[in-house]
Amino acid sequence: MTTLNTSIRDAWSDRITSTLRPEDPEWVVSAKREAAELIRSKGLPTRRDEDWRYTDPAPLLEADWRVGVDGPTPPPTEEDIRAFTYWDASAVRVVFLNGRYVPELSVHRTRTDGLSVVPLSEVMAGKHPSVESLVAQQLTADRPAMDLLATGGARDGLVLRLEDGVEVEGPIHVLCLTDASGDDAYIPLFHVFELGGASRLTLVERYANLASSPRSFTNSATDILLGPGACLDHYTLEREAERAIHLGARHVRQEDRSEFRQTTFTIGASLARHDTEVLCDGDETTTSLGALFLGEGTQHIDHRILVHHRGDQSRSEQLFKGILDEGSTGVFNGRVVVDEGTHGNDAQQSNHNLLLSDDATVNTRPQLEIYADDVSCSHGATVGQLDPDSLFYLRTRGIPRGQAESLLTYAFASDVVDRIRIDFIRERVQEFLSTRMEFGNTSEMTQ
Amino acid sequence: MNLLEIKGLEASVGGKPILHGLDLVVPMGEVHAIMGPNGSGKSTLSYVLAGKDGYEVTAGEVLYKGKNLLDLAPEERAAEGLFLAFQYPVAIPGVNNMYFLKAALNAQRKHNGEEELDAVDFMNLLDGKLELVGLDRDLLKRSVNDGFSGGEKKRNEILQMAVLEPTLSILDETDSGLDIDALKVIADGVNSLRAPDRSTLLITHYQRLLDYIVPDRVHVLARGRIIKSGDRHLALELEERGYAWLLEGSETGA
Repeated sequence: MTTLNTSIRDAWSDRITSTLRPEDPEWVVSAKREAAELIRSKGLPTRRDEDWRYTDPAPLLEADWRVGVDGPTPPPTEEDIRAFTYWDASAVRVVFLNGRYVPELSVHRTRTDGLSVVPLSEVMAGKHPSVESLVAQQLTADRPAMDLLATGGARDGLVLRLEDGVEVEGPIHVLCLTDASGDDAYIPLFHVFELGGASRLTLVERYANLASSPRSFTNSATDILLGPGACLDHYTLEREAERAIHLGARHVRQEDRSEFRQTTFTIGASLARHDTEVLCDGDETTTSLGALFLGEGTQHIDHRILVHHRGDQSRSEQLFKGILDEGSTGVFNGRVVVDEGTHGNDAQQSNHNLLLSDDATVNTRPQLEIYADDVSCSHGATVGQLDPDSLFYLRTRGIPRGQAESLLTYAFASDVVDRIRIDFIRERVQEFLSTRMEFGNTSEMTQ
Repeated sequence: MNLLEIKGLEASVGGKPILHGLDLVVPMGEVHAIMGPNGSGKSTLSYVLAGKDGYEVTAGEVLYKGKNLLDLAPEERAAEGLFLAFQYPVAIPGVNNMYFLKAALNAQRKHNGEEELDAVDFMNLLDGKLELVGLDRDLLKRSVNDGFSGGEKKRNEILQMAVLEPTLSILDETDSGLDIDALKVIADGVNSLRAPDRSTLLITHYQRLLDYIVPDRVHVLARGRIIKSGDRHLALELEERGYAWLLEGSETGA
């Protein structure tokens, strides 16, 4: 057992060092070597770790992944990615394929003074000195071993920096695609977003696959730093192919009065794990996390959340909803920590799950750790089927059983869907849900 | 022609017998009232007729338009023109009221081989109905019965009835908990649907509603059976004397 684990951790450590290049600057070399060394010394998670209690990391760690994938030549065209690009309103779109920046498909539609959006690969090549120290600092930040595999192995990702007081009109889209050449490949990505004081931004991260269905392992880490009064509306749409593995970790640090709003839709991958850790460092911060996850087949979808209140007078809320069909499994592992000596924090958490099949499973584990007296916290978790009284009511009005079930399933998801403030994304999500739930036009269904 | 014929109906809920050989005939075009004390089986009868799961028919038959009603799924009964106005309408957060009404009407139209209504035609149809039940158009934008007051929920039931124009309307204590103005609105809604090709079954605890909707026949349901039937004067007599005198009679007769 020990030897097996040792050989696996050594293999991962080697995978990280294999991403080093002769031309890499010193700060990149030292960060990668440090990550590789930490993997060797700290080891990798097993099911005995609390954070991996309901998701066994062994199969994905033991598989024989290749690192570093060459993209197809020629690269995909606008036509190839049309299905994922409905962003007429977007300010900037950045495309990655198999973990590599694709300049041909990345577009800066509007220029905003005080906004830098650059690929990590260019930062590592010394082309953007202004964000080098930011990236170097985040590369060496303390983080769980699984995330170190992402940050240590990454050669690309999005580095975004917004100056104080700048408001970006229209969302920024980050599209991370995998294609057939990503088969059996390990695809690490590292994104860093730093928002200066009182700046505002809407950002969409999307993970998807081109036509084919590669058995790839995407591991993305996203670091988000919000300055005083900064406001980020962040969306993650994850719909990887059915054989794919997706790990995504977000580490957020909030300063005074900043607002972090995140909405996640997890639909794809055979195994999807989404971690969100928010440190409410400042006072009067607002944190709102919402997620909808849909499982079918033998999908396994795990969400782990940590919201840590370290300042005063901050508010956090979590609304996580799962709809699990067939033999799928869902996990909600939501932890809220309120530090001793803090005042006036308000933390609300809810996780509701709908099981559409006898074979579907959900593990829900809300944990509140409150060390302060002056605090308001609540949490609630439910697991259930469609409400029989609501179903009967709809049927007595002539709505056939199947349609009534679809309608109620859709209704269950609606408060997460309604969080989406970007009309065209909300409409696409509604369309997707209505197709998935097998009924027609939903545009009139929500208010 | 009889629209509804119930013969020797026995039904149980959770293994507990509630209806014990109920007989009732509602001819086409008539309004019948069923009155009775609490726990007599009034709501059980309405749920059995609408087809709710868990309401098990153990004996007897129910003919609707001459066909076996009990063979049909709830949605088929609805499509055939049977409507139940619930005593406690359920709130369904996330389902838009307008969408719900349109889906219900179009499901019925589809069943009857009629063309489905588009949004514009539907709104036109709805405007008149809203006025009839005194509901604000804003209520259509909200989720079905979600956050509605008691009176709004009942009016919403009548609105659905007015939109679906059922052949047989069953109103299960629709009058309970309503003030006099709301009661009049409900009565106007029911009266406006009175026609030679429609019937109504009013299930009520009080005589009060029958001042506004004058029934052709009044039946007393007690201990799971119809123990007395008469014209509208029976309702007045019940109001005056209560149910005790009838219950004594039913006991000795049993």
